[in-house]
Order: sequence, then C-alpha cells, then structure tokens
Amino acid sequence: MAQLIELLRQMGAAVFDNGYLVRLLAVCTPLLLAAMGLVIARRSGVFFLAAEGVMTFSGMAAYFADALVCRALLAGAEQGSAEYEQLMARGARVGWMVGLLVGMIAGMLLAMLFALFLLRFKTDELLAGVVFNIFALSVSGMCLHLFDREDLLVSSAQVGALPVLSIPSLAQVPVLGGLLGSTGWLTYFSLLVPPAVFYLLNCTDFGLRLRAAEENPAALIGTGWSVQRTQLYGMLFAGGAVSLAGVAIALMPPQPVYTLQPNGAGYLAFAAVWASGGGILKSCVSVLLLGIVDACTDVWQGLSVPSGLISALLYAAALAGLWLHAHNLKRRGKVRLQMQQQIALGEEFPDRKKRWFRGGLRGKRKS
Amino acid sequence: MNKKIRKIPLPVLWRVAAGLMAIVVCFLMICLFEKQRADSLYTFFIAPLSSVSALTGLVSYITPMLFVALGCTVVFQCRRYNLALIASFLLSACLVSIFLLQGDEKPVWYLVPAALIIGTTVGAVVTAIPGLMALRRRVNITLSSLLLSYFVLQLSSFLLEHSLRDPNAAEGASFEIPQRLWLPRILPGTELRLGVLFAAAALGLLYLLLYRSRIGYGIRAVGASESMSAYVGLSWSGVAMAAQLLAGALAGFGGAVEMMGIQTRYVWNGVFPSVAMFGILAALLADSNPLRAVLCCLFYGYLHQGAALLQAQTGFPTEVSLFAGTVSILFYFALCADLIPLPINGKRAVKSDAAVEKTEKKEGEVG
Repeated sequence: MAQLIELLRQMGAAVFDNGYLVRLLAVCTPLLLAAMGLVIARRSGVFFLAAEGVMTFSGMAAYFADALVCRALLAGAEQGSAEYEQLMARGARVGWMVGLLVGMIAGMLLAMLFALFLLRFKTDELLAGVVFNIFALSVSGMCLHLFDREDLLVSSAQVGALPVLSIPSLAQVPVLGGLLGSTGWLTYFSLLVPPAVFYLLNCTDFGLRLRAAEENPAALIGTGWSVQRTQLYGMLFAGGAVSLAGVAIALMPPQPVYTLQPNGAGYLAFAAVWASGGGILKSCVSVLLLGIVDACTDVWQGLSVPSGLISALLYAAALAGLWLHAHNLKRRGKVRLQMQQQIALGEEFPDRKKRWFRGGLRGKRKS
Repeated sequence: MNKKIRKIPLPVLWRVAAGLMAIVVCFLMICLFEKQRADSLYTFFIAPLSSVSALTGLVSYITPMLFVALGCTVVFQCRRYNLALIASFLLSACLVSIFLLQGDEKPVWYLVPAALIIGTTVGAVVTAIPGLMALRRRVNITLSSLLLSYFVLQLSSFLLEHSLRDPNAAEGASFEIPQRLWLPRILPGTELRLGVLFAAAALGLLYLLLYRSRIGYGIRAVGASESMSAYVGLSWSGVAMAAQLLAGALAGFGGAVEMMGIQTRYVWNGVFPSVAMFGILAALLADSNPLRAVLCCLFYGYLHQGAALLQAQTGFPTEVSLFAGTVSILFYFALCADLIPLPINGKRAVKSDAAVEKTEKKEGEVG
C-alpha cells in the first residue's frame, strides 16, 4: 500500500513538474499541425488517410537531409578536435534549415501523389491511404539502413535539431522561465496555425470553395469551378501542414532521435479531427487531451509504471474519443427524428428552449 | 505472338506489369546502392529459387502471409476495410508464444491444438472490436482498426518485455519456443510443416465458401451493395460481422502457425510484422480473389526471401521488398484507372474506346 502511495506521489510530482509542460508542448506541436492539415482536408471532402505516411516520409526526408549536411561538413575532421566542434556547431545551424526545406518538399510531393491517385485515378481512398502509409514506412526503413548499415531500429546519425527560442528577459520567471527557454520556435508557430486555418476556411473565397467542395459540389460546379481542382489546392495546404508536423517530430529539440518504431501520430491527429466533427476549436481541444495523455507516457517512463501499457492508453483514448463522438451523433440523430415525427403528425413544434430543457445539458444548467 | 497476348484478359496483364515493376524497382535499387552488383543480383533474384531447400523455405515463409491475405480477401470482398488483421496476427502470435513458453511441461497433444485454438479465437475477438464499433456507432472501420493495431502493438511490446523477453537474445526477442512444440514436418529434410496443409485446406474451404455457398454469396452481395442485399432479405450487418470474424480468425490462425516452427522466437518489439503487410498487399494485387492471392503471396514471398538472403550477405535492407511491393500496388492502381496504357494493349484500349463511342452514338440515334 505504501509503495502504491509512493508511486502515485511520484506520478503526481512528474505531472506537476515544469518538464511536463515542456513535454506537453513538444508532443502537441506535431499533433496540432497535422490536425489543422486534416481539418482542411476534411472540410474539402478528402479522406486524407495517408497523413500518417506523409508525416513519416517528410520526417525521414528532413532527418536524413540534415544528417547528410552534417556528414558532408564533418568529413575529414577528427572527432574531439576543436575543428570538429566548430564544424558540428555549423552543421547544427545549417542542417535543420536544409532538413526543413527537404522535408516539406518531400511531404508535399507525396501528398500530391496521393491526391493524384484519389482525384485523377479514382482509387479507393482507404486502400490508397493504407498503401501510401506502408510505402512511407518501407522507405524510411530503407533509408535508415542505407545511411548506416549497422543501425537496426534507431539511427545513429548526427543531426542538428530545430532551434530553441529562448527569451533571456523571461528566463528568470519561476514557471514560464524553464518553459520558454527550452521550447522550439515551431511550437510557437503551430499556435498561430489554427487562427490561420479558421481565417482561410471562413473568411476567404478559397475557403468558401473548399467547404463547397464537400458540402455542395453541385453549387461549386454551377458557379464554374472544378471540384477536383479545388480539392487539389486544399490538399496542397493540408500536405504542407502535415509535412511540417512530420519535420517537427523528426527534428524535435533538444536531440532528435529517429526510430523505425511507428508512433501513429498521423492516425491520432486523424482521430482528433474526426472525433471533433472537423471543427477547428474542438480539434484543438482533442489534440490537447491526447497531448496530456502522451506527455504522461513520456514523463512516467522512469517510474516503475508499465510504460508499454501507458503508451497503449493513448490509442485507447483516441478510440474512446471516436466512440463518444459517434454516440453523440446518434443521439442527435434520434432527437432530429423525433422532431420530424412531431412535425409530420402535426403536433406542436418544440421550441428551442423546451428542446434544450428536455434533452440537453444547457437546459439543465439554466434550470 | 501479339495475337496470343491480346487474348489474355487485361487485368492479368496489369498484374504481370505490376510484378515486373516490382522486379525493376529491386533491380534498380541494388544497382544503385550495392558495390558487387552481379553477386548481389544473383543472391536476390536467383538464390531463392536455386535449391529445393530454398523453395521449401519460400513456401514455409508465405504460409502465415497466405492466412492474412485470405482474411483480407474476405473483408475486402465485403467492402469492410478492417485492417485489425495486423493486430489479430500480432496479438495471436504474442499470446501463443506466452502459452507455449509457460506451458512447456504439459503434453504436446494438448499444447499444440490449444495454441491453435487460442490464436484463432484471439484473432477473431480483435477483429470484432472495430467491426462492432462500426456496426453500433458507425465509427470509420479503417481508422478504428488502424488505431487498434497501434494499441495492440504497444500491448504486445509490453507483454514481450514483461513475460517473454530473453535477456541473452539481441533486439529484444523472446525465449526460443521448444522444438517439440513446433508443427510436425510433412516432408522430412525440408521446412514444409503441417501449417502448409492447413493453409491449403483454408484456401480450398474459403474458395468454396465465397463462391459456392449462401454465406459467400451474401458476403459478396453486401460488398456490392448494402441496400440491394437488405432489399433481398439479407441481414447485411450479420453478414459483415461474420466476414470480419472469419477474417480475424484466419489472421489469428496465421499468427499461431508463424510461432510454431516458422519463427523460433517472438521478435516484433515495437514494429509491425512485414508478413502481415505483405498479406494485405497480396490481397490488393489479387483483387480479393483467394486463388490469385496464393500467386501474389508467392511473388512477394520470393522478393522478401531474396532481400533476406541479400541482407545476410551484405547488410542490404530487407525493406526494399516491401518498398517494391507498394510501388507495384500503386502502379497496378494506376493501370486499373486506365490512365497508363500498356504498349501491348494500347491499340485495344483505343479500339474499345472507339467501340464505346460508336454504341453511344447508336443509342443516341435510336433515342
């Protein structure tokens, strides 16, 4: 009993530690970026199941482009010498830029290829998505072994991580100081992405066309626009966001680790978006909830808690989210059906307040 | 010669072209990244077919793959893209390994059939979860099954760490399963075991079930059109669940067979088994036909065996076979869309298009 209490205390201490917040921001960054890409894809009517593959592919391209730059710079330098350290620092400064660029281009190319199969070849979106994901897994495994044939599951290449945005004046603040000193700039950038996606979808003509491609394709065609072309442009944005998520995972500061063990971040983001019905705010909340569980799995690694089981909890949480969303949809469908029956029978149309009072939470709160 | 080729149905030509594409991809990869090209090409392409033992090894390797492929053909024919078959295979293999290792003192006549039954049951139960989620709440079956696969991957890694891991084995493998618990050999001096006969029996029974029985007709009818099958009085939900249970049972049986003589240890620590992925690819290339799936499994098994031999010789990554497999499937999808005409059937495609135009004109005139 005492051991259990001690374990719970340690788990609580790990969660309330400053490192937990840093970890939370780190795991939420790729999930949020991928979720925003998937929101765009969903609102344009594309089932972008290949997002996991695009993330894997872009991450692989970014990591090994970065590693190639570092290897080229370090060629001939003796390990441990001052020159080696100097070249290593230069590699860290340049490598991530090349990695970011190559990763983005590679990921977007794969997303465009997926769009080609989906929109032009009319391949089944589920099957094409699965094949693209297996394709990306195989390519990443091949690149890892071809880069260094002695590596088994984890790459031993030296790469430069995405730079950390440190704000010296805020470094002395008790809680925020540690947080602001060890978070990558991509995290701050990812916080700007949801408002940008909201603006794109709701305040621009292009966003209107994107939404019409899903909600009313006939109207889009009637106004002279091509549905497929609109969806293709939407996939370009979605592919960009998802590729950036892949790069964020592969070059995560402080020390990037590339492993062949899949983490399924693309599917988690997919589940977050689908469990939120494609809404931006709800997707962000879902991502935060998944991030809270994911960060727990990381900070509890050192404790005597079965880490494999806790990692499995993350996917169970995503499945539970999908189930609850579907349950909610079914309940709403039942309410709508009851209303239609009442209208058909000529009964009094239930007013909004009464409806909320009968079935909804808001009515209970008011009462 | 050209006339003879023209008599071959187009889908067969497309499959052959896809297979050739896979071989070309492997050839190019070896030529690009291997120094001793001639030796490597011989090892990759000739060695898997050079001796009786190599051939029987190939047949033995594809046995579990065939079970997964057969399961995929059932769910794909029913148009339920339930990919929890990977999870079924993985969890079944893991639990069967635990059962065999922990019950080592019990008699063989009890352990072997019990292990097969456990594998089959576990496989069916795992596949039933996304099936039920889709049936009860209309959760997207592909997404939920993929998330479930990741859940099972983490769970099986946890089980490996806590119940199976051999501290002396490299790469986090389990203890070796005792030889007395392997399935018996059917031909002395070869690697062919009883599992091959089970696979042949499963193939025959599944073919009869799908094409010569009422339930098979139901499965294909539900895949063709749910509303039509409901109209003719079929319980489409029951048929779909039965198909998924059957597929899961087949994949689970494959997992059990894999651990009883083909793999001596449980080795999938945090990675998905490539044999299950090849099974999915084989079902896709076979267009969900069980008989064609055998040939596709043989082809992918041949590529994988070649890659494994080459890896043992020079360290070249085995992932090249999976990469070539996915490229072949994508090429096949593109050919099915009739957008990449083969040089052989180019004239025929033009001719058929012209014929279609003629008939349309005639119909227009009559109308």
